[in-house]
Amino acid sequence: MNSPTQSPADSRLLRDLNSFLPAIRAKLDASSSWSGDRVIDRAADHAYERLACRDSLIASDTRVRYLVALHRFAAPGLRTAMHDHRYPIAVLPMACTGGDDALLYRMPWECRADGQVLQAGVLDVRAGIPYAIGAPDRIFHAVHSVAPHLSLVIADASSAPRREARLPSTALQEPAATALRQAATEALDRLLRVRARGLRNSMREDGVHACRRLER
Amino acid sequence: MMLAVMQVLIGLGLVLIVVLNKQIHALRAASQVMQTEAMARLDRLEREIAEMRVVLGLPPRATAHHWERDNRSDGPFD
Repeated sequence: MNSPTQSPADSRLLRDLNSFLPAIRAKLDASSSWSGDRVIDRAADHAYERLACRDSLIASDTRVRYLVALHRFAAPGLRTAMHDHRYPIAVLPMACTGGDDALLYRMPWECRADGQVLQAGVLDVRAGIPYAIGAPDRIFHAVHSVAPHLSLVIADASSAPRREARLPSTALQEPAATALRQAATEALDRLLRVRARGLRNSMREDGVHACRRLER
Repeated sequence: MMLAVMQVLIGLGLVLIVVLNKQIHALRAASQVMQTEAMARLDRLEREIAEMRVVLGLPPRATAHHWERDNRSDGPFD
């Protein structure tokens, strides 16, 4: 793919992110499995908080090894530079407060090859609608924040990273690490509740349609 | 007379080949669309089942994954 995708039909990363959400939610209850950091991006003159899982998530069918983390971008007005990632990633954006579908950030992206920009665009990233960047060697992106948000990220670490880490970090001290884990848990719970409500409503509508068909 | 009949038959045969070829291409395209739609529907159903397990308080599917201790701390996501 030469662009970020929001279609699970086109992305194994997105399919795996969706199917592993309950497992990641359950894992958040195990406090000892997570470590908190403050990551500093000097180029963008900002910092964000990262809650990284100490364990990798292994998909049984494909044996793909996923690293799992939650990032909190609490500061308003964040505008990162265009950057790449070390691994193929899938991202589930979540609102710090408020409901599903809220616009959280605008994401300019470019597909580059041999120093040339082949394609470019801007994706409106909304709460609860995940996207994947399956080709981190070609896809570069930036984040122009609209609202404070959290990102649940899984990274396919089956292969070696394509470059060294570039952002320094310092360990989060307590009680900040626990507060971050609680905020991430609440955001994911809220998102799953909203989705479940939508699912129940659509099932109810399906039932009503089925009854009407039977009455005819 | 024979020659005229032969020419008509060959002409009809060519028309038949062109029509059948178009039909095959149309069927191929339709089956591709159906396959894509079926994949998307399957993805939706799998996601909804996983979310319903959370709503119902059921554990995630046991065979789908496992966790392995890793302890990487080199900023894998930057």
